[in-house]
Amino acid sequence: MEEHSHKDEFKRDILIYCCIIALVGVIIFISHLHLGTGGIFLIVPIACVEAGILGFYFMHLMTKKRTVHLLLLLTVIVFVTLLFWPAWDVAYSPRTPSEFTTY
Amino acid sequence: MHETEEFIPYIVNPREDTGLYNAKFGIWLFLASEVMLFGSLFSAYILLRVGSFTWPVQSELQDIRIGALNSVILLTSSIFFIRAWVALKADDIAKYKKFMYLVILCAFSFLFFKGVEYHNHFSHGEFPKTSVYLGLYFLMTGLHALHIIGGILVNIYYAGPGMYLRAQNKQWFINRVEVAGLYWHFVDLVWIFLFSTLYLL
Amino acid sequence: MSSAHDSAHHDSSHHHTSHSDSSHHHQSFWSKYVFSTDHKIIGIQYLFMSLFFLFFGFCLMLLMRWQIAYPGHPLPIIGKMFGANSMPGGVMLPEFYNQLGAMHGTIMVFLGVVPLGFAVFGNYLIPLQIGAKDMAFPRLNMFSYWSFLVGGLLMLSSFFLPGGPASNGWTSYSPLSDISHDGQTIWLFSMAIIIISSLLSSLNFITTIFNLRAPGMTFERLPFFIWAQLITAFLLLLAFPPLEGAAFLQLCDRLLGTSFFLPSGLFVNGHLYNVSGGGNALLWQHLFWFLGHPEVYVIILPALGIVTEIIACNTRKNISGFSMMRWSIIFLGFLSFVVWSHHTYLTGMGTNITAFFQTTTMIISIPSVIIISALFITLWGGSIRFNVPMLFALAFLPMFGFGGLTGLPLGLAATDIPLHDTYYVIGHFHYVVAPGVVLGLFAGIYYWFPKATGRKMNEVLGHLHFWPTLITMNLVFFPMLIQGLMGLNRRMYDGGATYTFAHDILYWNVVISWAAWFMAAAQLFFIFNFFYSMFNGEKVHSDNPWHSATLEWATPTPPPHGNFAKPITVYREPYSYSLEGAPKDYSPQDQKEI
Repeated sequence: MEEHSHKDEFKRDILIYCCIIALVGVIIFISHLHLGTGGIFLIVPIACVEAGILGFYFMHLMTKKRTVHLLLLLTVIVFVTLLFWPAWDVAYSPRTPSEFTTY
Repeated sequence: MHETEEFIPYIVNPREDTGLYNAKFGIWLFLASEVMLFGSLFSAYILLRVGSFTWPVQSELQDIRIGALNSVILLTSSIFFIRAWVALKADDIAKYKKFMYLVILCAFSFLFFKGVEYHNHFSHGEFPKTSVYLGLYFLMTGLHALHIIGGILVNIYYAGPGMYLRAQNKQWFINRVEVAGLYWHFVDLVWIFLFSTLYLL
Repeated sequence: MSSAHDSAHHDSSHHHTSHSDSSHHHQSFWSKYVFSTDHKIIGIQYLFMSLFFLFFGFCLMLLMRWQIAYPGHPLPIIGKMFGANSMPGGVMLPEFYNQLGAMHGTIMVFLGVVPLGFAVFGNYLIPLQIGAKDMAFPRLNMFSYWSFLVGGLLMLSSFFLPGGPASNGWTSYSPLSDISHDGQTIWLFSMAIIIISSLLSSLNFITTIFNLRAPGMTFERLPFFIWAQLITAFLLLLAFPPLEGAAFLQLCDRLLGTSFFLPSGLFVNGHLYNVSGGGNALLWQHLFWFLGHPEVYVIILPALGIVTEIIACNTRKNISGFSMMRWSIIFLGFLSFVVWSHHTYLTGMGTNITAFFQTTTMIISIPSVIIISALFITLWGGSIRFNVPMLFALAFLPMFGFGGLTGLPLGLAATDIPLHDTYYVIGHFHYVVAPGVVLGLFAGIYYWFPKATGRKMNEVLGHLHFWPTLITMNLVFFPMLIQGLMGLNRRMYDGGATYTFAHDILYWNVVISWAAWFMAAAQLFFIFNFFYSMFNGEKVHSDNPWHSATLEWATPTPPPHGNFAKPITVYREPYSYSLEGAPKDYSPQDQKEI
């Protein structure tokens, strides 16, 4: 599908690669700051950006038709549902401290 | 063989309205299910961590250097895979094979370093049953490693014994490699989240 | 364009007759009938497998019903065959009862009803109804079947373990499942294999429906059966993996000593359990029901699809509200992912999250009602033919509707409090599955039998199967609703005999059990009819004996490898019956003139 010359694409791929590596470095750095819970709101979105870049460029997501986009949107919605109920459940359940699990 | 283009359409050429050939559609569906599989494990991680009084400091239990190195290795292997696929499309078989071997080499290195990490854990008395965090770590990275092994087998096949398929139908073989590449990128993608969640949070 | 290229290529080089495709070498018996990649053969393989498992699970229930009706009494004649571990002296042990209960549920759901509705009818009919020659991935399809069989046999093998099979309900809740005997480990491995098989089938079905439709077959022209299979496939694709994940977690707990589902401070047999703790038993429940709820729609939707086909054909009318039905089923599929916690109302969830799930649960009843109503309305003014498939399909409507209504008090959290874990729940879900879905599946077998075999099933035997089955099913499950309303708990090995409050309703157990045994007798007519008609049934003299307009009837009978004698183009909607100006009361989809 790609009509670009191989050289242009190669440069672009290397650029994407360096971006992702740089972002990995960024989240490692953030992790070292030991921000605690706040760190999650930085690290996870940046990981999502990394994944998005990888998906869009390496997996050619941007050239896919609507079908794949819709499928992925559906998956993401279902996935997010699965992912966020536990937080909600724990936040809203009546629990005494002794019922919390311990490490 | 039953699966010829005359018998089943859109094996080689994409269908106009969906824009996809069958295997590409199929692999995206498969990846969607894999998202849900790893997603359930991430969901378990969130629930168990949010619901716990104490949780180990992950960066102290893990060697972030090895984790980062593995991230770089996998990302590099993804680039190599793309180069391999481009070479295949350009009919440069020698280059295609070279890059596929590099992908496989990266994959084995990943597993090697993973093995080093596991060994370090075991020698410190850190086993899956030691804590919930470690149990999740071993299960999630272990499942991921199984996916890497699966990918290795597919990649070895397409770089070696499976090459006879290219002689049968060139475009179909290119499609097969593209599909394998999508799977490989996905495995890389999952690692990004694993590394971020299990090592850095 | 590939399709045009295909047809040009075909006309010149291939002859399409009832005999095997000339381009394929002659196949051995093994590659043609055993390791077949043909979707029809695979469908039939799934059929025999799932009918066997359905029968097996049914027999487990018949055994349980003895214990419930006559607790502590030795089962005459066959009781002593079960050995001292299960039924010493013919009297059922509580442990054995639990095993029967767990395996009955597991086998019926995962190895019986779902493969029958999805894999059997889907595999056989999807390529036929969309005008394709086979599934998109025939070899993957074959792999799906064989792995399913392996998973099923592994599940059965657990009966031969020293400790017997899993005994913790089909829901396998933790922490008990984490620490119970080996049967549970086999259960988990079997489930993992079955899940992988289902995932591969789902992606095969979805790819086929999207990519292999014949020219002219737009989504609006797809029969509702295909829509139902498509949504079912999506549900399986996205909802099964979390159960796979949960199975891995539980396997780690059982085999590696982890504590994903084991909380701290757990005492087992009076001693503190030696694990790290830190786990959460509710995690299992949520992961299980995240699949579990879409699973029930996986059970329901194929039957809805089958019944719609049969009703359209046998009323000689278009389905009223067909586009509403399509939107409803899409909406239903989507919603089914956000209602699962109505199964966990009584686990101590907060009121906010309970309110959320209660709301979504109430909303999800709307699309089901729309679909059933559309089917009822279709009957109005129809020219109804009361053949055996139609009888089953007609019975499905009120039975499923009633069963669905009984679910409403369970969906509302407040009324669920007294009803949860009682026989009311058993009555509810069996009403939708047994007089509901299973009747729909029987309808499908009677309906498509002539296409697959070239012979009709016997009508008299069909009636002898239908009427007693319908009556006994109601006699079995309606009293359960009463028992549940009066507070009788489920999963009690003696049917509640030790509870004084239950004394007034215990007699229902005897009624139910005898109705169940009569129901078993009625199934003999079906079993005999099915096998007898395959060889000696009245031959059909047409490829389209029911005069249906959909594409599966446009093939030779039985359809050969490659299905259609010539390339198919689709010209109209699926239920083109009694069209104005048409010469016949049905206008096949692939026929250019009206």
